[in-house]
Amino acid sequence: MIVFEYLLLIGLLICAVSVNFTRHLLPTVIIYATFGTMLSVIWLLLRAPDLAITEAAVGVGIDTILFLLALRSMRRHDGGKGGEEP
Amino acid sequence: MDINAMLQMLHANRFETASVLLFVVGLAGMVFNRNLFKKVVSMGFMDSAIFLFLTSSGFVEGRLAPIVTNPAVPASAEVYSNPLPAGLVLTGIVVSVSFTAFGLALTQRLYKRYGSLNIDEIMMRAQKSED
Amino acid sequence: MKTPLWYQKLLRWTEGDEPGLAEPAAHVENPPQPRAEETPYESGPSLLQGAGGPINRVLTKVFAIFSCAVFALVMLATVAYLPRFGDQGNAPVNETSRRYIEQGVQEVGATNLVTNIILVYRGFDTYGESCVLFLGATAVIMLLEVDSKNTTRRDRALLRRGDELDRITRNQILGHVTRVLMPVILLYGLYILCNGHLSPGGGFAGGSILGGALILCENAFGVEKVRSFFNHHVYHAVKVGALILYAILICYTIYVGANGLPNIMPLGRPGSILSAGIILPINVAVGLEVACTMYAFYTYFGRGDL
Repeated sequence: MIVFEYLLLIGLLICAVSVNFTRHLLPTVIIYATFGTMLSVIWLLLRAPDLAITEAAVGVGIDTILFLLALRSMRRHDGGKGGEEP
Repeated sequence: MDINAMLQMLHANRFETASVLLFVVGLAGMVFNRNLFKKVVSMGFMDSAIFLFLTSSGFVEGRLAPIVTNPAVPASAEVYSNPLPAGLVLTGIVVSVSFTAFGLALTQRLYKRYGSLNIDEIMMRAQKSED
Repeated sequence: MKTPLWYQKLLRWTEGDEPGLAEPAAHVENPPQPRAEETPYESGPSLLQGAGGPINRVLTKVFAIFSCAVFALVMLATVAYLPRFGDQGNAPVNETSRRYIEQGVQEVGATNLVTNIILVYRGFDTYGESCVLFLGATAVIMLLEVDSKNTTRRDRALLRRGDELDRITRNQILGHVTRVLMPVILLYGLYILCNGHLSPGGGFAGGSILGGALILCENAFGVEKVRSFFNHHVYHAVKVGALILYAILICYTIYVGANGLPNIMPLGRPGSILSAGIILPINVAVGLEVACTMYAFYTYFGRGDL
């Protein structure tokens, strides 16, 4: 069990660090969604199922949709670039 | 406390350790990223770090999730883990989504006005349009 | 009428001018010269790209890295001195949570103790949080609403072209799959919403699942279909109505609790669906509020219109 916990925690840190080194913005959103999923498993391990279900619905679903929509509307605005410079 | 005992405590408090490191990573991301979009994402990481810290303080080894299984008998406090931090964090998660939406809306407006997500470039163009 | 001095100073401060010691009248006669000799890039108050050339910039960066590292070390040392994780005698496991666990089911009636805390014991807190969500949606609407005043014609044409593109390239498979999945998703959302006092979930999770169902519906069937049952009027009526219902219920609970009056809301048998008094209506109100907010976030980010 401790190994599993460490895997999840290190996964969180890897996600948080790797966001700063992506060249494009779409991988950032995907990494953020991965982070939220791992966090919701951690809530389950910490005996907080309410948090897990809320994180899975709000933190993963709605946040990802918001980020993707912001990217899409910026991309529409200038025809494909979408603030891609790092 | 020598370094060995300290490492042992860090291992025992692994969730708190991870949350502190996550907070610092998010802080560094907010300071060093020039891209506003990534700043918003880093702020989300900082939020999650705080939530992780709070929730891990409510965990008690070997106790159940705070949902009463048999409501006929009075619940014993020795069976269920602490529900209070989970309640506080539940509030925080929704507020953080609000913040994310607001930050993204501001970012999008800035992008439409100045055509860039880089904070330095936005400042430069803003000052140019002022002059 | 003469405007007071402090108000002129405040105005100048909000416009970015230094609130100097000069008289405002003299200031008007000699308007401040634009700082033409400096490049605008260098004079900006940016943290890392401040004035002083590349050496200073590198020094600032090194200082920032150093302070982040020191912060990390201090926090790690603090964590090492925290009480041991998962211990029974920790400070957060005190008489407050003991009271919530032992008396919660009898006093409030929900078997999910977290719901007891966030909706009744600390209901005022959660009400404020609902207001934060409401304000967030309002701010997003203010910032992203597309009309002729704040958007150029080119941008509006781009938006229209994007919508047209979406309509032409709409996916048949998505439509058919959505037709099958939509009842299941709605049922799941309603289950989580209405079982918030018995099982994990509640207003926030269930509401965002319902909002996600609306978003999926719009993606699969188009804007017109969603607008036929969820337009501006429905949005405002549901959102404001849910918030007012929530406020009334919270006011009632606080009034009854503070004055020691008997609660007329029946607590029911703990564990059944119609129990726990005010928690079920509050959960439904919160869920409607959250669903409306999530859908509003989606539409305003995508189209700038509901």
